[in-house]
Amino acid sequence: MIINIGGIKNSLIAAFYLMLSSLSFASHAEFRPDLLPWSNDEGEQVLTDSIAGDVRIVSLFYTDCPNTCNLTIEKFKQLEKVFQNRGISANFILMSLDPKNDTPAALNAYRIERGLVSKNWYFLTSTEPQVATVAKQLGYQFTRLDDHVFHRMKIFIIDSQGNIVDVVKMSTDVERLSILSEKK
Amino acid sequence: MLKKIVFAALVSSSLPSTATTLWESDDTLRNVNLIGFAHIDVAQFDSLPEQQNTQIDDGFQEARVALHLSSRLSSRITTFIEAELTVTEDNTSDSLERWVVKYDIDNNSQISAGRYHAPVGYWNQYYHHGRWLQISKDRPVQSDFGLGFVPAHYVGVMYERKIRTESLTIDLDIGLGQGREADLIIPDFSSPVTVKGKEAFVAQINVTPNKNRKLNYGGSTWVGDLKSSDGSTFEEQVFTAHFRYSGITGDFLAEASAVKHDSQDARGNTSNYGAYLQYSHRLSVMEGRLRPYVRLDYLDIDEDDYVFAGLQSQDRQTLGIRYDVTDNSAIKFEIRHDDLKDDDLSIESIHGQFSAFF
Repeated sequence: MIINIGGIKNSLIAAFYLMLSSLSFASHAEFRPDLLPWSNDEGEQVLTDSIAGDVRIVSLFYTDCPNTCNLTIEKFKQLEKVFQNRGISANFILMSLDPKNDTPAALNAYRIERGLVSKNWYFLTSTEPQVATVAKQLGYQFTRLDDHVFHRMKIFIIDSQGNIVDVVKMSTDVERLSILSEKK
Repeated sequence: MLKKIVFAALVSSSLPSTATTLWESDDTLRNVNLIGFAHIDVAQFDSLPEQQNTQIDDGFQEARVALHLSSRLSSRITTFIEAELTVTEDNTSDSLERWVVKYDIDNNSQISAGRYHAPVGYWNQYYHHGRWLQISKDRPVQSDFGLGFVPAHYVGVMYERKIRTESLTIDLDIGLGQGREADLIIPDFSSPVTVKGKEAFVAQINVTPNKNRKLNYGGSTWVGDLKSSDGSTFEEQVFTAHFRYSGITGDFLAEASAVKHDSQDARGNTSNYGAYLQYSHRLSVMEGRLRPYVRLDYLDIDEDDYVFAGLQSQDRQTLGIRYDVTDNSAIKFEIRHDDLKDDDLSIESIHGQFSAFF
């Protein structure tokens, strides 16, 4: 019997890389957006890690968005009702895709105009590199063209450990989220 | 006159800028972003004008796919390309709609060169990326690319600047280029006469109050020279003004434009006017996906205008509804009433469109 030592060595190396890549994949499924503190709509510095609760509902948006973000806000409201009805404490975090225009004052005006005044709703802004990094972390794709930011609706349900446990899209039935069955 | 305007533009562009830092992450280098827009149009008319610039008929109108490709070539240089493929009942055409190379001077100012959609009027500037973006099915009459009332395309250089004061955000575009492309055709008994621009200056300003970003107002101007294929020359001046209020549910947009042609020979001076009012309302039912809208269009063409001899005065009333099927696709349905003044013809029509980005 001929034992191919080189083959075993290569297999071990391959297995090691697979393990590393799976670890790397796991880290992508986590929500760790605090490279720098974020600014909330009152101009205060906020770390998302400090926003506690059973779950965090997170998405990216911008205040000048003419279409998709209005639908995202409607989905957030549906999620708020669902979590309230189940007695699950949830915090709602909207991070700006357009930090140049979405100053804390602009975010505050947006929040007040829409009557989203609950303290568990957070409107955050930062810098373009930090937003790009968070989007990459979440697998959230967007493209800037002049004054527009083209993107789809994608809402992330984050558990208390920072793990992404559900992704809500426009067609998602919010009553059927996996985290709701876990919390029963 | 052009020289004075260019001098004023250069003085303006030399004003100090406030921002200094640029986004220079390595992640942004050499990346390529691709986004596509597509729409398909259908329509049914109760009658059609005998003379018209574009052949229209009942049923399928057109299908179009536009690909937008942007890439950051270096930390300060980006390029943007828009290529279109349009299919109509009788024809298939492709075009390089835009190709722009842009250099970021700083975070708030850029200089670029290439082929643009002319920044004349709010609609041309805000809605030029695709039909999905705009609420209505089509452009307003005064901004219709096929009609050519205001210049559609522009080849040249452009300086863009965002000025932020405590109370206002001001977007300023200043450009100098070759002027109108041959998008105007003057009907003639023997052979059509085409009109082409020689050079043009364009400037646009958009103002947004920082405390109320729902409001936007501003205007644009275009000054250029025109020469027709039969040897006549004109100076063309275009002025536009707009006002928009974009609330959570209600969206109101009004825009007006004036196009003046001063003949350098004996064809006289003429003035033409266009305007539209549009209001849309997002209904609270069906997750906010339904948006009825209404638009009133007005176009007044001077009968003695040689350059616009192929156009005619018209009024249009549009009543429509948009339904967002998904977060990247929409269906629009419209009923329209057109009054074509020269033809003394009223046209009732219904229109449908599916539009998407991907």
